[in-house]
Amino acid sequence: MPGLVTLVSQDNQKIEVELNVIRQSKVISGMLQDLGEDEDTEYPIPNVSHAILKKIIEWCEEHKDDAPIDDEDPNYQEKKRTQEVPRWDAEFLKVDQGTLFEIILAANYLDIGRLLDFACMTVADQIRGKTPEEIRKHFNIKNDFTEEEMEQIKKENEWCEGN
Amino acid sequence: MQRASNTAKFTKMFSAMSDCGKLSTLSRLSDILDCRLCYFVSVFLATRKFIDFFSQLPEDVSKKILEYLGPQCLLNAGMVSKAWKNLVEDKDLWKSQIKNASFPMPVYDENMIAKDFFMKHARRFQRWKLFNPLTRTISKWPATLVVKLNDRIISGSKGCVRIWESSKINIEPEGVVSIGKADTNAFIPLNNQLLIFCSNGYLKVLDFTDCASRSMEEPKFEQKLSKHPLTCASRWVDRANENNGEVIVVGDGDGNIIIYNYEDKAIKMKKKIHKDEVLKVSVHFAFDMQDAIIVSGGKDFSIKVTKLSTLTLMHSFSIASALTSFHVLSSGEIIIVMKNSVARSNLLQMKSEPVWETKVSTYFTSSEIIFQDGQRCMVLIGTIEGKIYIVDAESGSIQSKTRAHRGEVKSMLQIEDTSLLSADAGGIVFSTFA
Repeated sequence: MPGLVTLVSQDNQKIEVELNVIRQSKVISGMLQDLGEDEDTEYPIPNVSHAILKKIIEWCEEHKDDAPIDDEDPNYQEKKRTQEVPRWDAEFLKVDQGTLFEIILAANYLDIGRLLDFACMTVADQIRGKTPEEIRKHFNIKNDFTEEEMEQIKKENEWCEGN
Repeated sequence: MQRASNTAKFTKMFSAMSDCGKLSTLSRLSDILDCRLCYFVSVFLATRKFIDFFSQLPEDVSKKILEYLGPQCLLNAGMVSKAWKNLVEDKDLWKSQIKNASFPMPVYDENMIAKDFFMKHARRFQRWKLFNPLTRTISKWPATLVVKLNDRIISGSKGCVRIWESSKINIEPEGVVSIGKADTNAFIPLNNQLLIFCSNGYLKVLDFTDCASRSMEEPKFEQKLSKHPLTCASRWVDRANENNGEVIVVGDGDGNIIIYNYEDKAIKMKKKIHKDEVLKVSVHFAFDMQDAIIVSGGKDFSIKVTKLSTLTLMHSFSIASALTSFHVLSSGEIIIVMKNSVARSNLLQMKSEPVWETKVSTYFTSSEIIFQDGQRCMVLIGTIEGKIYIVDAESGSIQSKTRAHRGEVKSMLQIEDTSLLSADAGGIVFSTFA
């Protein structure tokens, strides 16, 4: 079918996807340019598993009509700092932690700026407002500070009130 | 050895999988493994249940996540583990915190670690904002003015100037210098000298170069600048134009502005600008021209802008109530402290509505600007009943009110990052936040 490309995931499974959907990945659209938009060519995505690639394509389907973003634009950078994750994306990213981190890795690898931003914001939301102990528990992190080191950091970080 | 490296390999691969990936791997594994081996796998998985995904992200991605957090969240994140601490101490993260700080913050000094810089100013701000200082009355002599000159603290009042070594601030001053029957209306510290502007029209100068304050008896030099009282003064050094050098701009009780060259001991220019007493003068670079401008405020309810080089009047604005003081910001805006209100306006558009105006039911008597090195600033305002207000210059909101004096706060002076000297008829109060 015209306008379709075939991607091959890490675990060697093939997925067909519309060209104008997957163009949101700067890496894939670069590959398409380099290798030519030939329907018979299979494009290997060696760093992304089948399950995650399917998720990524689902996201791209939803966002195929969005205006492209300019990463260098300071206005965009400023807006990014203050905006919230849109509802659809927040629902989309309500997944277990392993999946969320895999989506981040895949979005980073495939260079899909907005998805990466939303996913990073989701993780940031999980950190926000938590005490160090709560963060450790949430992300399964081991505290490797000695008691003395901890005292020292507490002192360094002393501040009169939250901000 | 082989087994250990295999374990590491499997752990890494497995932990990188999503839940779906893990499920399908496990279902394939259970197809080919017998019961005993399945048991081992389940034990293995149980011990590996907790996986730190965060640590597997490339550093630029974890930084991207941390960029969305505010300072307090970053500090908490930095206490999670050594790896997180390293991530959080990133310079760019804190530079953006400095840029987006919700309080006045000076321009970042590249020589300092960004986090330390942020913390230093955050703490300083908090101390000022809470304004819950340790206060100590350092002198019970009445004072209308107070100034710091090198390692001395000097107060001015009717008829005399009192001098303390700042390391030994006691109730009794080290030295007292009589200036006759006049009031001390303004001080300018200049190198090792103190210029005193008096209500009898005289400029008097104390020189501390080879003289201990204890043995100082009278001013080294005096000169009459006006037949009216000298009411205010400001020093201007033209760094761009060496020839112009340094001038002292003085206001007097009749509305005159006097340009005085201290090196030549000569009055360069004098012109009547205000209809009544000049209350404050200050000199600034004009915001859109080469020349410097004088901003002056008078008892005649007006603020005037004049050219320094010619004393030509450029702008004149009336204000709604009597002026107490004003501060010109580097942005070309002005904070005007009036008797019953404080307002922020654009200096050249003062006829239009101010950016904000905050009215109070007390009487403002003096003011001092703090954090003026930054893009934003705060204003300390003293009141007639001895309180000190802290006003956020961004929004005009009053952050705190603290009683520091028994009587009218006559003058205030920020002497270090964390301390303030203020003067009233009952003496000098030293407030510190350290």
